[in-house]
Amino acid sequence: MISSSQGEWIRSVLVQYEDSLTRYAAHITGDIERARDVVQDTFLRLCSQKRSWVGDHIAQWLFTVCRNRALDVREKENRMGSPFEVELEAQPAPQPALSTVLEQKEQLSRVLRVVATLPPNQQEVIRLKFQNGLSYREISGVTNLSVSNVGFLIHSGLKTVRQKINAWSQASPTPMRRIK
Amino acid sequence: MRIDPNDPRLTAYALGELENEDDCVEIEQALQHSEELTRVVAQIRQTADLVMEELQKEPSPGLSREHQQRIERKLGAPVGSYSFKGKWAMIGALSAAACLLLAIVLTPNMLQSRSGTVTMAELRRPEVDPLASQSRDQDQPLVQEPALGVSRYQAVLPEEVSPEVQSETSAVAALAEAPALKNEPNQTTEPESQPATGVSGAVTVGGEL
Repeated sequence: MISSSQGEWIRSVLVQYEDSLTRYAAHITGDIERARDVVQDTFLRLCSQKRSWVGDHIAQWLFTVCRNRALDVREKENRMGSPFEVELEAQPAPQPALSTVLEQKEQLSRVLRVVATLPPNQQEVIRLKFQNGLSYREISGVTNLSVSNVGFLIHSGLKTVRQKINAWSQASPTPMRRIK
Repeated sequence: MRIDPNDPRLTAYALGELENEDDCVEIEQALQHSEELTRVVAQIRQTADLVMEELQKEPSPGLSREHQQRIERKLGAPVGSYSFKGKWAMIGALSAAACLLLAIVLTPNMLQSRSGTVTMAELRRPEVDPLASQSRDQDQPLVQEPALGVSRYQAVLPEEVSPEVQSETSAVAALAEAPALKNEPNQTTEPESQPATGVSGAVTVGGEL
């Protein structure tokens, strides 16, 4: 039986991480419903964990479980000939279903569009760092990359974003914050 | 030592992620002597702030109501293995419910069968006219549901009953109780000597002999 204190803790974790995990899983699976299933499975697994085991690194635990489950789902879909054939290491991740929720694509900020052009591994670590607030070390734990590799990917991704935003600002008539 | 502006350690330093103390000291010393590196670190921080600001605005689909309810059910239900005490409590409750259900189902049948059971005393009553009764109830089944607490041997006819009735009743009993008769050939033994089973195959003829 889940104790009341454990239940309250899981509910508070759910409130805190539900959105970020669903968004993260959606970028991996490319499908909102599958992302929701993945996040649900993640929290169902959390129910069987003792708080003392994961309490001090809950974010890393959640994102690790969520990522592994999402990759399993994506791999399964790819084997079954799913249209969401996203190869994390090889090509930019398309987000067809997610765009339906993200209002119109035109309304997405240029920064997000620039981030979406990055290689998937750079996108992933940048999202984990800046969208979800994970440290280099936590990202290393989630992605199984070394800390120095995570640092290199974030460094390269930020550099590309900065260069593209500056180039866009110079070419576009609409005002955009330029990084000096 | 000169630090390359493209060194990833600069990004780690700008984001507060540089863990190695020696690297920190080295970069801070380099920043004191290089405007270019200082500008690079500032650019990295500015880009990081912009990216963070925009990424955190990105909407999330969140969980659906159904997904949330499934998690909530899990939180409200026992997980892992049941406790031993809880398992036996559940078995006890299910057993009690089964007994209650059995009693509800069997009680009307028992009462109905008891009202139609032929006892030895009834068979001995002179006003009983089995032939008339049979003709009256031809549409009813001759063999009824077994009655609780009444042995099938109670249906055996006594010696006072007329031969017609005896032959008729014997035929019905033979039809309904053929296997039992094979095992119990002496039908004319005293019924009181046979143990009355709880739910025995009492044979009634016509219901109102």
